[in-house]
Amino acid sequence: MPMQPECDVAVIGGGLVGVAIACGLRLAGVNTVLLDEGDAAIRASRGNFGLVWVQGKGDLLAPYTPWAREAGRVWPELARWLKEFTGLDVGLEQPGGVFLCMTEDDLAARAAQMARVAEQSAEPYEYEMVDSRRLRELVPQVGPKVAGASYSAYDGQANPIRLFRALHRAFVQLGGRYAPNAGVTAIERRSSAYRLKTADGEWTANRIVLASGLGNVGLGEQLGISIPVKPMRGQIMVTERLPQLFPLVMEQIRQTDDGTLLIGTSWEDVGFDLSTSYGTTRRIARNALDFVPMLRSVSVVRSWAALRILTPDASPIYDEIAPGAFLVTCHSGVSLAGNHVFATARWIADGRIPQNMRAFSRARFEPNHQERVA
Amino acid sequence: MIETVDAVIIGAGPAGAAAAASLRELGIASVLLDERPEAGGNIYRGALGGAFARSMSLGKDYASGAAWLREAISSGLDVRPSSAVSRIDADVVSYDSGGTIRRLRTRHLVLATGAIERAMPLPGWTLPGVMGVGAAQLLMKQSGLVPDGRYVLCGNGPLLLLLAKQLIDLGALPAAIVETGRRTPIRTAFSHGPALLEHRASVAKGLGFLAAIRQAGIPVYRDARSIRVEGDARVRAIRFTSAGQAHELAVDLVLCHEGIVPNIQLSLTLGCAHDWDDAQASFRPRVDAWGETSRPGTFAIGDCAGILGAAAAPHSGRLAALAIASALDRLRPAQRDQLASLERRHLLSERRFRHFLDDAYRPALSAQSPIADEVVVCRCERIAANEVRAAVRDGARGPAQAKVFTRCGMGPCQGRVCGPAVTRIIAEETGQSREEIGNYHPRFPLKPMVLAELATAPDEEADHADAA
Repeated sequence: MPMQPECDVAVIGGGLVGVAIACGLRLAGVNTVLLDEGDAAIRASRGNFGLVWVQGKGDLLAPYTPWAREAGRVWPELARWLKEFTGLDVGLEQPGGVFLCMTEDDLAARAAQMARVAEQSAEPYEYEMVDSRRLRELVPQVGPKVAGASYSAYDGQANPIRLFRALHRAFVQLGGRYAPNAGVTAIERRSSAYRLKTADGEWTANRIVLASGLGNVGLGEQLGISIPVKPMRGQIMVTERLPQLFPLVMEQIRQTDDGTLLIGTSWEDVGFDLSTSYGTTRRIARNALDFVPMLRSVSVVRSWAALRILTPDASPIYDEIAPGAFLVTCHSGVSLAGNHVFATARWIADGRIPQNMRAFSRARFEPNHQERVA
Repeated sequence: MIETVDAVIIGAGPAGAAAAASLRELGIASVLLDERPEAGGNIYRGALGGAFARSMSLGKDYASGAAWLREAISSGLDVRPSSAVSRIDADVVSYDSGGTIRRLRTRHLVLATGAIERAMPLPGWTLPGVMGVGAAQLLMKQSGLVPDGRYVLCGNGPLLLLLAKQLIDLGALPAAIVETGRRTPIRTAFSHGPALLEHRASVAKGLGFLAAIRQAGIPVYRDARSIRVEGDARVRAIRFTSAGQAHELAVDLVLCHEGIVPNIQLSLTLGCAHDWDDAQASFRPRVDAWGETSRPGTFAIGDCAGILGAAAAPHSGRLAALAIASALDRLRPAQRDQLASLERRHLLSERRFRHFLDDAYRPALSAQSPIADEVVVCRCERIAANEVRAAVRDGARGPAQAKVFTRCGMGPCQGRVCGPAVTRIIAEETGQSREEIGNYHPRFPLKPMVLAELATAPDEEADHADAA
């Protein structure tokens, strides 16, 4: 029989969300183990785009707007701390961002969405709808076919894979225990503790955090709770390295601090299919050249698909779904990283949900939920 | 409409050409794609129009192989050179042809992508003036180029000896051979006695290489260790120890080689199952007795399915052709099995001899002694061995996480070169087996492709843009 190590909190899932929370728990002094799957895990954290994005969030759930803004505000603190503590520069920059709209119709729809978000926001919400001419003053490389964009000074980007690594390193440096190849296969509730069966032995923990992305669905079933997330495929292409090109961050084409361009993106409801496709590759390439024609002869070196973890209102869920079992799921593991390390981990550490996280309970998806946002 | 064919074969070396020729004899049309401007693969590079296409200077095997290949592909096969496969989606193969994407639909896909040289990450291997023995031989076959100045051959393996012999014959003598690995040829030979007897012609050929090297008076340093290539802007010298003595040879060029490994980029990308082959110190796709991989309808033949050499390649190609013909109801199972038995006999015989070669020429430096911390393993992204080790300390247990943590394998070659070294470092650091660790997952496009070409790709149902 494998021995059963005791720990206060077991975080299930070693992606960006899980490792951010595990780090935060260690910062709060909680005895934490991070249970991760093996190398071949389906992992959104390896495939994401790396935007630190604020504008437009909260369209379908008003409290998400201040939560996303707060995340943008605490990000610099996270980046500074990681640099000092791990030596890794996670490449944060927040120069403002534009969401490009190809047609006048796209632009009008975007304007309506941004207006809704601004109107819902309790604090002042600054953004600007810009036409083609103004857009090209902001980003001269944008092509003449593009109708316009929404601009906000809140947006930025980071290097998501370095963030991922820095959080892993920080967690271990903080004395956290990392257990790879230990994907959780069964959860059992025993009086006041949880017993977890993993691919590599068993663990018992006083509290658990479900941070397994799409894997949370299966973990929730173990606790008799349905978790309303589903995969939404996004395809991304990456180019050869280029000198830094753009003064601002664009939602559709982003340049990493390594010099490569990430070009996206798609929203495809295709289940757990992680393959890229011919048609989407072609469409993304076409759009990219309409957005930035100067990229014609830039080489694509690789493409990939990743699965977003999407709730019906595209907003996170933070909920204690059973006593001592905390669910954390979102599809913005980079943008929300600072919140997860600081606020979300604190909630799990002391068990009291802060006011600004209360709207993210799972109950909002139940049919007769009172506070449902219209 | 996308052009539809019964089989698409990728790679026009001896395996691919034999498969296509065999299919044609069985009345089945196939398309033979090759990324290079000419068929022939690496082994018969230049067979059609190269410097030695019709010469005996590179030896009898090259001359007769080149003649066979010319014959095979001139027999009315649909050979499409300069056609690099960019992606495969289910049953549709997309390939680049002169800057345009074209597409083929097929139920049978045959991978005949051959082998690549095993990377030999020794200190200084990224300096200008270090190249592979195989790469040097390709320049010779294709363009008649031979090394200029003082050069050494470093490593081991049949190809290294063959190139030494060919260059001696052409009057471009190496300054020395720096041999890696501790061989005990007599004991190795004893345990493979029957195979050597069966292949005495090949043995005689090999002994001939050794004799030629001896006669030319070329110094051979055996069991070389602590090999370093020295130089600033380019190679200046090679240093090593041999028989307890330190040596430094001033050279302009170092040709390295420790064998070849299957080129599995495509089979990895397609998600085929792969197995670790300890004797060959490499991964190969898992195939059945016909060469079919774990992806139904996809075959791997020739050296891309495990190194067996040029003599074996046509036989594995014909086996795949027989299986495809049978699947298409062009051949009764009994006929198929009868025809297959002859091919299998040849393959078994080649395999016996290959066991001897694998035993005699184990990659020493590139598979056994640890890679020094400061040596760059991923050349595209300039990631050194110690950075991969640091990724393991940060929790990486496999190439996918190591790639994300360090960028190793993220460059244009997608880990074709560094994959084996990275898997090996992780194995050494974690104590897991290479089988458990596995490989990178290369992605489409397999080789860089400009955005404009992707953007002007034909409509999903058209076979090229003009028809869209």
